[in-house]
Amino acid sequence: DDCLERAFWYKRCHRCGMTGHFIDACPQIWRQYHLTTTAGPIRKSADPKACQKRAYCYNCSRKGHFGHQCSQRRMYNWSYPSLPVITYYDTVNDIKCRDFR
Amino acid sequence: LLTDGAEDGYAGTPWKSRNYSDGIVGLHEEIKDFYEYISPRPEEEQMRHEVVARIQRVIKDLWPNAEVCVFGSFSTGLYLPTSDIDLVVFGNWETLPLWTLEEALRKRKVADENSIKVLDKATVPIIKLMDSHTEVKVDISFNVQSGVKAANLIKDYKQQYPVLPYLVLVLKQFLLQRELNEVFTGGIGSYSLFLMAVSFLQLHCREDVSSSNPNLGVLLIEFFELYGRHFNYLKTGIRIKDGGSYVAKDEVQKSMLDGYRPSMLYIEDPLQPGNDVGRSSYGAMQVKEAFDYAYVILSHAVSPIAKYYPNNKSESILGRIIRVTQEVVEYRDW
Ligand SMILES: [Zn+2]
Ligand SMILES: [Zn+2]
Repeated sequence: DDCLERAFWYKRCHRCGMTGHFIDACPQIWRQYHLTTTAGPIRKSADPKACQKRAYCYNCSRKGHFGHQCSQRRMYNWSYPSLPVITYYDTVNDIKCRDFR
Repeated sequence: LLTDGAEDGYAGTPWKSRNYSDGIVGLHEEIKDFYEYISPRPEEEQMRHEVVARIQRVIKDLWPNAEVCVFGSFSTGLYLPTSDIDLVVFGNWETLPLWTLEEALRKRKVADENSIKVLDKATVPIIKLMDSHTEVKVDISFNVQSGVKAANLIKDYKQQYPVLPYLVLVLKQFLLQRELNEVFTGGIGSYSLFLMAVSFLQLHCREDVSSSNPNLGVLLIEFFELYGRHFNYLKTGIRIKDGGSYVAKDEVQKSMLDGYRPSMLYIEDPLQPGNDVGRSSYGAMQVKEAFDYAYVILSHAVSPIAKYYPNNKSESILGRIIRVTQEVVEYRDW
């Protein structure tokens, strides 16, 4: 039952905390494989939340923050930013759990 | 022999010679296979060198001191089987000898009679032709340095980012089959595409994108995600030099004389900072739409939900956004 997603009053993912999608459509599910190139366990980054020091924003073009952290208006209202760093790597159990949902 | 996973007929995925792992790891494997398949074979490279040699002989017979250089995708190695060969001739002429060379190429039967054209009104005047032996298309320009410099820059970035060739060849094929690979058909040029890929890697939040073996499927989807969804074309421009950054388009406009507006896709030329590589890319928003489409298709195809699609073992994920035509397969078979 832990596998089940609880109903939420607005679309916010409780895997990555971003708005705009539910947990089953979380881009983190495929993004967490960023260093994995063969079948089997997921290869984790030594420091998964490490970001480049030189941040530039794809939305407002300014220096000092990344696009997903930008508070300025987006080009399209319907588009929500997504998190480029990995907050959590799935365990073998997590993957099994998702498969049987 | 059904090597491309088709039950009957031609599936359009001739690179697919095996079943892939699930999801995104499978997409990574498939991108590698596509790259191996589409990359020039030694015979193809040899064939292209012979085309260059035939044209070079004609030029040298006319002007023994002229110098012929190959630039563009044939010199960088980032070409598809159907890509053109770009040549530039350096020499001393009062006026560009477009018609003299055209006549010589025709007489010596290097070019197919109907294929040779002189575009003397273009910004960069060129001779276009198709080699009569191989049907490879060739563009010849005169005394233009920029293409050769750009090719060297591209080679440097290929060294710096080992994933670039994989991404760029998939993206080139993707744009080619949508006719978005040329500025005059409403797309973007290959130099713009390449610089977009470089900027994507330079400014990527995760530093490990330039590691030796990242997942290429993740990077491909992230490229589509950035330029199809997140990148704000209205406000933001691309700068490559000094390790890369973004620039505010309104500031670019202020610095430009005579009220010239930066184009929708503004890319500052690292070789010539006053030059906007994206200018005249009127089709930039169509390209953006195509990238967004690819993002949606691929991110769904690698999601865990897609596992329950029937026949997913025999299906190709990459084949949902790119196909290689049967003509290309046949062209390469002879
Ligand atoms: Zn999420
Ligand atoms: Zn911002």
